Amino acid sequence: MMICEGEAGGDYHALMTEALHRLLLERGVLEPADVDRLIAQLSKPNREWGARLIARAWMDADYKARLLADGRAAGAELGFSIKEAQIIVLENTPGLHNLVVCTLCSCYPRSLLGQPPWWYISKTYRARAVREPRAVLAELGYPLPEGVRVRVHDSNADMRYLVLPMRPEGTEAWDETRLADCVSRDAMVGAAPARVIWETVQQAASDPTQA
Amino acid sequence: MTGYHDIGGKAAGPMIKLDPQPAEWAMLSEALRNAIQQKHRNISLDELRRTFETMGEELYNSLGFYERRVAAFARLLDEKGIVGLDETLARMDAIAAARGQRVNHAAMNVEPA
Amino acid sequence: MPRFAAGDRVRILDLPKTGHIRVPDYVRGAVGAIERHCGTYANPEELAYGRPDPARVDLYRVRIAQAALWAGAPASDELDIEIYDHWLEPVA
Repeated sequence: MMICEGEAGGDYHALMTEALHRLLLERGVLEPADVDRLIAQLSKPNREWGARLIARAWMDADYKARLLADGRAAGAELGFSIKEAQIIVLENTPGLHNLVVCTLCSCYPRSLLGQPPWWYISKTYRARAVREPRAVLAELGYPLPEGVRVRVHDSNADMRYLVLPMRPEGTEAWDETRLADCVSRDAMVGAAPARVIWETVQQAASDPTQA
Repeated sequence: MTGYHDIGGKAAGPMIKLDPQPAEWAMLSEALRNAIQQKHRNISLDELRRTFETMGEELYNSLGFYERRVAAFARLLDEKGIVGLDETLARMDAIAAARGQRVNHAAMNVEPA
Repeated sequence: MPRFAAGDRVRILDLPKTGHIRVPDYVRGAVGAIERHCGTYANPEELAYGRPDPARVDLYRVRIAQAALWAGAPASDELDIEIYDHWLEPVA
């Protein structure tokens, strides 16, 4: 029996959310300030936060060692207060490719990266990634070369994961900001390589201080 | 047997690499739940998961991700005596009526009145 | 003192437990090796029912050969998963 994605009930659940919002405020369970604070809190973490950890690790071997040993502490060093119990950082190499999935629900390092990508929380991904990671990666536009080992991580309990993708070629002279631009959310779960971003290259071309 | 949500290794269709932003209401529902967790410490993510794992396979299969989360949230609030599910449904009816709409709870639709 | 150390061979049990369980069906009965001890955490099986003072349990990452889980999987590939202590037994 095939897993069905199911996308029904948007308007209905939008209305349910509105009803709950009003009832919770009327009952005094929450104040408007509580809700505002949480909306702000949930919308702050984003791709760039995780990308900064990756870029710093590419530039600084000692930081990279600390990041691989304890992702949460390494994030705190850069000022990120990670709420999850631990972040395990997985280094991708030419010989080993790491891929992260939560088969049971949608576990993801939200306090660092924000909400997970839609496709990551799709039932299709949750069902197939553990069993046929190479096919899934190919369908996501990232076919792996021959000879690479694949290690899939099911994020099913208290740990959360961050993939450290390989640094793109030709970026040796780049600063941290430009390096961070190469790191997508998809790359940080192992679903895409870190990529040189064309706009970044164009900026460099017009900036005589960057080789 | 862990449950109908335990789908690791099952057959499924092709990967569709879309990444739409969550709707505003989806972020609001996450904010409401997190706000209660932080302020009152009387609901937890584990309880939320247990709720959507037991609210029925039909619902689990037909609803999208954030839809499932808020459906479970409403049920958990009812279980805890914080907001009754019947009150939530009645409020939905009232809000809809004021907009010239009608709620079909069985079909989980909002229709013109 | 955690029961297992990195490298220990373990089997993931198929306990007839109901309720909120974080052990997927696809790894039940599988044999693998402890990759690391992750720490001690409140048992989600109890947290899920709001029980006061939930037991704290050791959590481990277990590394399993994909070939042990799925027929025809590449021999080089692996699956790492987090399993609580009471779902594990030592394997000689």
